[in-house]
Amino acid sequence: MCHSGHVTSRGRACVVAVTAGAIVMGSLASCAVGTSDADSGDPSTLRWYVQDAGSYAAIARACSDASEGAFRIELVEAPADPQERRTDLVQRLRTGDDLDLVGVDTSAIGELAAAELLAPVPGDLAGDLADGRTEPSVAAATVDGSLVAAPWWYEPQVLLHRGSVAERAGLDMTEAVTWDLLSAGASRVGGSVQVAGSTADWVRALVAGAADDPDLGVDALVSALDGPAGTAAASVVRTFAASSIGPGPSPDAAVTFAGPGGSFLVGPVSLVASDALAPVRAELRVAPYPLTSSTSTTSRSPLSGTALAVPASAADPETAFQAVTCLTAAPAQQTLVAATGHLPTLSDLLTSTAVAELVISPEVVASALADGAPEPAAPTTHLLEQAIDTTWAPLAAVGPDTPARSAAEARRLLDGGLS
Amino acid sequence: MSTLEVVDRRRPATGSQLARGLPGLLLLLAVVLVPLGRLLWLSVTDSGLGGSGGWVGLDHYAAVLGSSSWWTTIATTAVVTASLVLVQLLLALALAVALWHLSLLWWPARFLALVPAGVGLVVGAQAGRAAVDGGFLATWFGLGDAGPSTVLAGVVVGELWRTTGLVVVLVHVALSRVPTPLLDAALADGATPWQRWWRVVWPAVTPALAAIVVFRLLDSWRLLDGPLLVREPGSFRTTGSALVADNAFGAFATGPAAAAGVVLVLLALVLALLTLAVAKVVRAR
Repeated sequence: MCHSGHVTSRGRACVVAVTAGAIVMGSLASCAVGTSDADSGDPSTLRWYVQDAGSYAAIARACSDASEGAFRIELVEAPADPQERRTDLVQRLRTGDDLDLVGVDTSAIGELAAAELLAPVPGDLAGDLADGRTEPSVAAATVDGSLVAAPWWYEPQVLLHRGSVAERAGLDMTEAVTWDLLSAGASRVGGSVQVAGSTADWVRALVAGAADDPDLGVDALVSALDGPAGTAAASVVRTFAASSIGPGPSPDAAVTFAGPGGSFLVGPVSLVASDALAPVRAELRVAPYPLTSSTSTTSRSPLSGTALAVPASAADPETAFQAVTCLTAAPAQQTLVAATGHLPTLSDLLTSTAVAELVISPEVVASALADGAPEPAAPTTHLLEQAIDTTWAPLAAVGPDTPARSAAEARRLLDGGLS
Repeated sequence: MSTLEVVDRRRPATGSQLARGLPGLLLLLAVVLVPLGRLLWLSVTDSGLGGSGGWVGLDHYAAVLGSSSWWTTIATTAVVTASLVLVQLLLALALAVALWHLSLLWWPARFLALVPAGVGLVVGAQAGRAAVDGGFLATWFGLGDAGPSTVLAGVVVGELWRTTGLVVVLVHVALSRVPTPLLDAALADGATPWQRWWRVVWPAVTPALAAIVVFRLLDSWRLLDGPLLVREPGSFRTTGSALVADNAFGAFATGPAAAAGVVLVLLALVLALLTLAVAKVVRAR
């Protein structure tokens, strides 16, 4: 059945609906949605591999129906953990598992494209798929100048806080505050700062903030880690760890934030629509991603998302790209926002009322998207992330030499060293 | 209908014996040599993600042997294996000797000893980890926050708990094969318990003990499940097998992983031969 780690309230309704439908159709093996096969001939079945699959049942059904019998989309649940998802997807693509559409994390796009596991986007379609999309979301799906996947959703991280906790902590949330002020403020009022997302995201954003350059490639990030920007990032993490205000990056961050004593949460903006935060939604406030240091002027939020690609091993790439076009078109993007809270990549929709209501503070999101630090769309991004994830944990062990050590570890991995 | 015949191992096999043995031999060779051959092939070709599949010679071996993370991992594996096997052998010897003297208790004891062996590797590792990470062992010994080495110790404890019972049973079998007439004769000659142990029992059980140690050495050397399961980001890697798994299925660097696998197998062979040589020296003394 459709399981998902991060199901939204609307997503869960979809899961229930699909479950009921599946029982009626007597097909319990997977979440199959789409037109009845009584139409003209048998529609070809497209297997769509995506995380949180249950939330996308409605979109899949709508596109299956709209294809007028050309295809029928069947959902395949991907693992919730990003690392597991990456290895699982690579294994499936290498062994020619029967997938026709895949949701690819932006951090993995470069690697998959370099390994030639993705079908090339047809030339005439590439323009359409990128047309009207937010600029960073297109950049994240572009490798060596050509689009390799369709931008689907893409979003920044923000600082969420509950009720009046920021005022009590003496923080002015109309502008971005520094991490150190945030740590001190939370510590003063006995609150906590939960961090959703990975250590690699956090460190990358801190380094980009200190270097005041959002768009650093892998090599530039490694050099920056080794210099003053890395030192600034380590200083933020050490102050955070010393303030005893939370465990740092954790998959339980949202749940802990919504629990008793929760005060601040740093994480993807779509969390505001998540089930985990539903109990505290009325008192949620959104502020820009914190600044690395008092000398930083611009908030550099970690940006990430998911793009839709067709595996190189897909049986019928043409039909699959037809489905990709439908799944990333405006109606599907609207359903996406309503079902999951993920930010659409169509710029027009970002200013729509549906999105504005959901994300609470559209201005914060817009400037975060404009100034944020994206994951480099390079084949080696995962090596840098691995180096950071292993050297910056546990948080309590982060010291002045951590940035240099992580840069050395990244260089070792980039040189083809054993992982 | 065929008649049973006694095979004399000193005489060369007859044609019909060979013919009957051949299919089994071929199957054995295929089962052992095909995966090993594939491993060797992967270790000398560019077989990873996006690789060309072309010949690279000994590059992967050079990368493995020239890597500091490889040697740290091997050192950790050696410490884990040595401590596991030594502690386990001493524990098992003590328990088996005690049970040998209390022959009445042997039946229920054997059953109890084998229960942990029936428990999955996964459960053993998780239970061991839970015991040191805020569990009963942490309370008894006042362990603080579980660092990587504490968690590693937990894996060793879990593995000890899971497999020591089996070793006790094996050692007990070896002890029960010590010829009773020899012991009776030693008793009649007025040998002290100490002399009976070292002069009669010990020489009789050393071959079996050597086999048990080799079996446990190889089993611990390839320890994978526990270390993989309990690992957290930032903790150092625990065993060579985990390193191979990470590189093969995490980084998709199949070539270096295969080379590391070959080196691990060779090191395991060396370990086994060393143990047998030591056993020979001990027996000859």
